Amino acid sequence: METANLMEERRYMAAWQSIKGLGARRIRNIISHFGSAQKAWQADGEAVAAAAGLGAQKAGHINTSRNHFDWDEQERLLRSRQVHLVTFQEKAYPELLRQTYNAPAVLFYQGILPQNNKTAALVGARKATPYGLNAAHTLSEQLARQGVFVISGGARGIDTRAHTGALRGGGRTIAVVANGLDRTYPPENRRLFQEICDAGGAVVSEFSFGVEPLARNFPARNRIIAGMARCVIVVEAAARSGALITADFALEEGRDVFAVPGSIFSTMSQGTHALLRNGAIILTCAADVLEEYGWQHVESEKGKSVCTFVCTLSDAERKIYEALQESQALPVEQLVIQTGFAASDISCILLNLMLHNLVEEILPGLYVRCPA
Amino acid sequence: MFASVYGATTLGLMGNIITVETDIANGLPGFEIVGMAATSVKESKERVRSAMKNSGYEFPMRRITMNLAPAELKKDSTGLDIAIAVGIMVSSGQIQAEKTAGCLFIGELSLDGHIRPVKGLLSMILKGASAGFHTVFISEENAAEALLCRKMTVYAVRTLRDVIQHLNDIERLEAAVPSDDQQEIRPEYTIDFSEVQGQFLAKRALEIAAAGGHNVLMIGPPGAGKTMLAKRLPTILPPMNTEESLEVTKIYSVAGLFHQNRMITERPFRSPHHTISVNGLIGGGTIPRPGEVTLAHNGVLFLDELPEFPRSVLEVMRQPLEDGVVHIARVHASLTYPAQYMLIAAMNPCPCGNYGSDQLCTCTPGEIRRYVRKISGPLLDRIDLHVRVERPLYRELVSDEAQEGSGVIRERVLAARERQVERLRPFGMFCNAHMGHRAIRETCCVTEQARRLLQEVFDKFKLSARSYDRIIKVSRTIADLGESDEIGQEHVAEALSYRNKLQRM
Repeated sequence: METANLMEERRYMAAWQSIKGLGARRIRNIISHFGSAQKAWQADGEAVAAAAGLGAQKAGHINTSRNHFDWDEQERLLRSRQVHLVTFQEKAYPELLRQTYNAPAVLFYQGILPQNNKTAALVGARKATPYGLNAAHTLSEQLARQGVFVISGGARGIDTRAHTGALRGGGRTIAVVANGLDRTYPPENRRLFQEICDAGGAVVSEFSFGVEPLARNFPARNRIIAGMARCVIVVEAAARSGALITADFALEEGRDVFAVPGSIFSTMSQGTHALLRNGAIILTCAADVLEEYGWQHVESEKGKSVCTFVCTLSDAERKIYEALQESQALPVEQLVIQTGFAASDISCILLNLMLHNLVEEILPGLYVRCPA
Repeated sequence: MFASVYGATTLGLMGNIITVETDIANGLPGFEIVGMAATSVKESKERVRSAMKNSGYEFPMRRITMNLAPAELKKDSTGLDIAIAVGIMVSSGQIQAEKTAGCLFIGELSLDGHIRPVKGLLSMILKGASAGFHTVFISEENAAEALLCRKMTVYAVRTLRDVIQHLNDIERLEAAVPSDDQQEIRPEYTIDFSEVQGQFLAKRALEIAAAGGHNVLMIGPPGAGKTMLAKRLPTILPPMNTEESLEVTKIYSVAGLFHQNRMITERPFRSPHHTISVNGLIGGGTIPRPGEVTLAHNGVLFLDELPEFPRSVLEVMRQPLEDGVVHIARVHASLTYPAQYMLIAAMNPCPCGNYGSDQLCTCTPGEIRRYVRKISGPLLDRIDLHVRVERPLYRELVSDEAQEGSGVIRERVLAARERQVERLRPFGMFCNAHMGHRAIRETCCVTEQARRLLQEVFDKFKLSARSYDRIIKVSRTIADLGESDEIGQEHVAEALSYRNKLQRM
């Protein structure tokens, strides 16, 4: 009986979320005023407007929105997209997020939400340099291997790398997106999101079905990313980057901000350097985060096996591996010049190294070395 | 009096023998031409009248009726001028009818009686030879082209007067003979791969492309040398055989682009600008003329700045890429032109061109995606090899290290082609790129090791089923270059490095 009530309540909460002009705070006020989302839904429009601190003229809007709400469509999408709901009053709601100033009233999610607070957000620019992409990937992989939940935004560039790194590290990761879960943005990450869910992670959104990934949704999404995590790691950010908004949210909630240093010549690291200047913690390896929170350092089997694998490389493979760099992506052309091998042989060796996760094709045709 | 002499026109690449029937009868002086003559042919009345007068002959002041048979065929060639003039001369008794038996007259008249060259002569002459004509009169400028067909006596004449004097046995002409350098059938390229410093990966990709007939997409920043590489591709393709040469020469003759005195033996290289129209690319006009895809027949079609081409233009290219011919239907004629070519496309990685290079790219991710998306999936499906071309280093530019020449590469390509011809004979194909799913299944034997590698790679990189066939085809070519009957691990591994990466940008 209780579960049935809970289900109802969640659906009413999701319905409230769909009404335009009502933010998370107003929805929470309305709910606490009427006791439950269901009661509030059935209440008089003017009373609701008053509870939300809105003028009487908004009551009409709330009434029409409620009358036109398509319950069947919501139910259909929840089922077909396998979307779950969790309200801010439930125990399953992420604890860290609940503590924030403006926690979302309801979360739409696919997959499984984190059960503990061992979470770190890893964010950065969409258009990142090979250095940033490799750094995000490597750090995320290390964190995931230590059992840390990596949270990011599911966007292109650093975000995508944070997710793929976590997946490779065998860990779980959460993508917080800025659109309704009935659509996928960016479209090329459809498969990535599926893998995230399959690996025990989640794709999370505050927005109800039908919401497009509009520019104004992104700061709201960033507050969730910062809210769900113990700390925010900024990998690469230009002077005015969305990643800095996430860092601001983290600071407002008293969470730590880590920044990964970059080249002083790179415009893509100006934002992270500004953070460091203002007191962010410098991050050079995943252990920095673990030590900060006293999280246990797990001796990883996988890390060892990579090391031993490096020892078993053939001379040619070693030569290619050593010619590559971590912070700069090289084309095959450059490797031909450096090693004197034929282009065809280099292609074979690179593929082999990629299959063993020692090399990454960070941009089409450009390769970086993954730190062992 | 009635007379009939023979001229010729072209329709598409086909020559057509036209019977020019002339009848001169009593009546009001006049000159009528019937038989679907285009404007240019109708106008020949005035040219013929003046040319005859200025050559010192009499234009009969009687009623002249002329019929161009077969009457249902649209005639669009000024090459009928001499035939019309000679027809009138015979009909008016100034030339004996039997003198013109077995003769073909092809050429345009100028008002002073000089004879001008025509387009598409080779097709007409080949048709004439097969139709049993033994002599042809053509303009001096057309002599070299006419001599490509060795089956006819060719009289290269300067003026109408020369033709008539010859026919009347007053002043016999000498038959034209081919010059020595016309015997030469080896291709001569003025460019060579040895001039390209560095670009190892791109050169290797082009070698594979040449060996298997694969289409290639080169991606690289401006100034990387994409055009330079593409231009040299014909030099490593197997030399054309006589049949192919003749076909190409015919196409160029019909298009009015044949300007040399010997058969075209170099494989064509066409690089239309990206402002080209649909008709310019596949052919068009009231009587369709060959487009760039046909001019690139047996050679290379190079599309630089691929995303800048209008979508409609790129889409029409899909059918000829598939079938090797292009069908064009217009009001006056429906024609089929050959269009068996290798497509080499080049593009920048992003609108500013610097994405992925050491220079700063100023494009937003959205701009890059929009740019890359301009090329449709179905077209990309027909491109087997994707290769990144880098800007050469200064060190490479100034290096005088000897690079492999086209001749050496061509030898390897030839050997690989021979293996393919042998293997694909039962399927009626001659190169790996044309293999369909069935041919791949039956002829591409993959070693156990390679199969395992493919499995691993497909899991890791999440490749589509569609890309599987492409990878196997390219691996097959790489194995052919390596003189291997089986597709091994190293062949697959190399083929994988040329897979489509555009979707990831």
